Amino acid sequence: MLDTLKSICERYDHYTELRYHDRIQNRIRVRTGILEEARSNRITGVGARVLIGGAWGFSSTSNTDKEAIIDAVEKAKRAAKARVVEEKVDIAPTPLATGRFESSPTEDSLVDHSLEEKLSLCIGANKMMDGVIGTTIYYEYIDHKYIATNDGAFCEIVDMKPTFMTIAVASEGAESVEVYGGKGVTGGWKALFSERSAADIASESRDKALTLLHAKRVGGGRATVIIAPDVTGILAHEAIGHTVEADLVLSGSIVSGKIGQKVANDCVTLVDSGQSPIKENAEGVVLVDDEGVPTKKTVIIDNGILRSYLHNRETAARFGVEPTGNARAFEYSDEPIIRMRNTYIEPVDWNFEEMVEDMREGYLIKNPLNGEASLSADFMFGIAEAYPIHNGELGDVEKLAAISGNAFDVLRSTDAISRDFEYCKPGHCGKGQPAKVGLGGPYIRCKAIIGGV
Amino acid sequence: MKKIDLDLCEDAVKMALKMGAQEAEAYATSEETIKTDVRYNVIANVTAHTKGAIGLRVFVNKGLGFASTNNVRYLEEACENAVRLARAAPRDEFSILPQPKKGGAVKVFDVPLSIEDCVSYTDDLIRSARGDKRVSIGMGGFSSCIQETYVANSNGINASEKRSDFEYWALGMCKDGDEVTDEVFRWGGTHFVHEIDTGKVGRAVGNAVLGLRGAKKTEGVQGEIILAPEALSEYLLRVLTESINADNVQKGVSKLKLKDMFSNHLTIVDDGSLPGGFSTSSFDREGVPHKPLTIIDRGELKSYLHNTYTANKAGTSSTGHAYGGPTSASSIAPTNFVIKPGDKRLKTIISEVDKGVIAEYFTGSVDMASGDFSGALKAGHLIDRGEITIPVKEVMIAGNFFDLLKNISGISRESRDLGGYKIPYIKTGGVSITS
Repeated sequence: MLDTLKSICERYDHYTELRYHDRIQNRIRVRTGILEEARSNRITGVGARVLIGGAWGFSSTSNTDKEAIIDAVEKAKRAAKARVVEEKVDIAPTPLATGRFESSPTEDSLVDHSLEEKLSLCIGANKMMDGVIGTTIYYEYIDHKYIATNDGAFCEIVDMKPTFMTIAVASEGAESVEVYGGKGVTGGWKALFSERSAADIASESRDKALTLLHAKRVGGGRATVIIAPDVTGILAHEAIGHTVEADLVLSGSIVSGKIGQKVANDCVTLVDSGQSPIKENAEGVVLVDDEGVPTKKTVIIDNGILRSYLHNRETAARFGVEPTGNARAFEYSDEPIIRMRNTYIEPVDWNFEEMVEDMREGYLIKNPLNGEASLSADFMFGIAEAYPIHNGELGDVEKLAAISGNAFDVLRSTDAISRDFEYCKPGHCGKGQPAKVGLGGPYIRCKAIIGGV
Repeated sequence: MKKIDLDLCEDAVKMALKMGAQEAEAYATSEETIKTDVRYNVIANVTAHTKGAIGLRVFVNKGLGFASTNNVRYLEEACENAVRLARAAPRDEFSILPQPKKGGAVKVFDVPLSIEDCVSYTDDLIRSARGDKRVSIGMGGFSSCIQETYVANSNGINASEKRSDFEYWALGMCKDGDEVTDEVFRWGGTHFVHEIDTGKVGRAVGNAVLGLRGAKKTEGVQGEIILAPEALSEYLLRVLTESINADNVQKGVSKLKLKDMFSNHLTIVDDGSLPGGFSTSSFDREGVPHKPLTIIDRGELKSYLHNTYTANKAGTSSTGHAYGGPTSASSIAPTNFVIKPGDKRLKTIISEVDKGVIAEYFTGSVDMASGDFSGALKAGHLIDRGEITIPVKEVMIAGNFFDLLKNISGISRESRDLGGYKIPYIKTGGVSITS
């Protein structure tokens, strides 16, 4: 297939990019003992993109015969030529990937575990969730791609991303509490359950929901808080990461024109990486992006200074920088757009217990439920748990509604960062099309507004 | 490569039965889509897609298995996976496939459009909105989708349909000096080329945003609100459509009560066979023909939306609301969801408001289960003693959507079609309004 793609690309003088994607997606969902979903999907197809006269044209086909792929390129050409372009785009030249790239181990691969095993895993774990409305979900993407461009990309990519998730809803009268648990990785079966089994994840979610149901509600206001790695991750991704995606920078995000400026306290280094630094198997591993650009670690904020945006080849040309390997497409029929990969704040040297002991008043905040943020980095995240800290001691869990603020203000107020580090909270990021991303970080101590919405 | 069609669906059903399925259903689509995307007054993107897929739902001992593929080379693998999953699945007594039922075919197909045609309609959309250059289209687009749908099951259902869907929409604002107005959204869609009217949608956006110039923040807005069709459709009506979904009712998620939930002004009919409706089709995701279904009759809840599974669980028949594509088993969704228009013109309804607000859209958060919402009404005008006066910026509102439906005191004769929703203006109250 890769040779076929290459031979088709080479027929054309204009930039031509062909991406074959074969995806197996299996998904099981069990709610209160009832199997709601048990499906296995396999989709294959080719996305064809051309750049003619400064205009993109994109077409896709689920028919992977050579003639159908050529037809897709011809349609992409017509799409590029059909409109008048006022602002011509270009792509930055860059070394492109050649060879085979595999991000998942060949041993203990997902394909060695049967559909039946995955189904019984969800049914078994669901039994651990009595006393709540419990949902257990297993899903996996098993991806095989070939990318060829007529300016040098010629590569094969194998990637596997399994996820196990739980939702526990505990309620009594009008009071209701929802708790999410789970893990997502890039890798095999062992990596997914390396720390906790599916049954442990399910019973932890259940216990947490039942505890929170009877917990008192936290007071509101501006406070010193230690945010746990799961909240640090969502802050880094949702409230900072989107503002530095170069397409959104061009739409006027708050960091437009601020490269080289101080945007956070000196201790803060914020990264988006296609690899899995610090800990293995991060969920958003992308070894080669969907334009065929090999990825690396992109330092966005380096010790408080804004150093880089996240680029595809088009925005890299526009800003006169190197592409960062952030062009991603969810399926063959999606056009590559700028997306994050593994976004996190780097750990420093505090130990978590010392951070707590060093605080007179405040809260430890963990377990985000949802989040939204604007291009000015104002954010509000729904949060499940708050633990009051009084004279260096952690109190009992309280129910929290939300944490909000401006993410850059939060990073400017950050005065302590732990050496403990975790990737957490499985899920997808949405930007017109879904993408599996990794989020995480250390515990960080900062100031934010907590409490009711 | 072998073609995705009705014969393939029938072959897939036979293959699944041979592999051990006791019941089997195959649903497939094959489509050609062309899309344009408008960003800031120019066509930013044009794409063309050819796709098809086939999905198999099978039962073994009433256990469910589902598999799909878009590549017929993997059809056998998909059949195997569906049967394996079904064998391993727990028994669900209510698992069942529909029996064949007679229904009338509807006409929803015209000729296809070319890439160049789609670009030309998009140009017309932008041009019509921007007769006055202060109008700016932030986002918009045109799409043409030619789709063939096929369904076959082991009870003898076999049906197919060819359709063409043409849709276009624009989200515009007016920039006048330093002033930027709220945005206004309009949608248009049809199955027939001669009915495409991108100019109408463009002009409607242009005129509406020009009328929002000079909007002021006002204090102490009180009284009634009139919601435009777009304000209802965006998020708010989803509270109702989720609540009448029989699956949510059976899971205890829906908070609907049979009595005293709605104003007696309110009548809602869902009709997948409605001539000219954008969501009109001959049959649903399971091959069950559509027919009109009264959901609310003068304030009284009459029916939920069922597919075959929820109907079997409730001891009734499917209402023809199985929904979904070939890559997952059927869920439930409305088709053409029609709020019956009232007998007064919008102008008359406005004249009956002493003090209040009429608004184009709602932005904010809505809790789907409880119906509680809070957010802002945008693109609004104040109403004072029966007359529309000045445009207003961001009127904050909070309340419960079911209360809002209970407090309806007027429904306009005019309604707009919003992709399967036919919605009039509604006058209501009982929400907290601040500014």
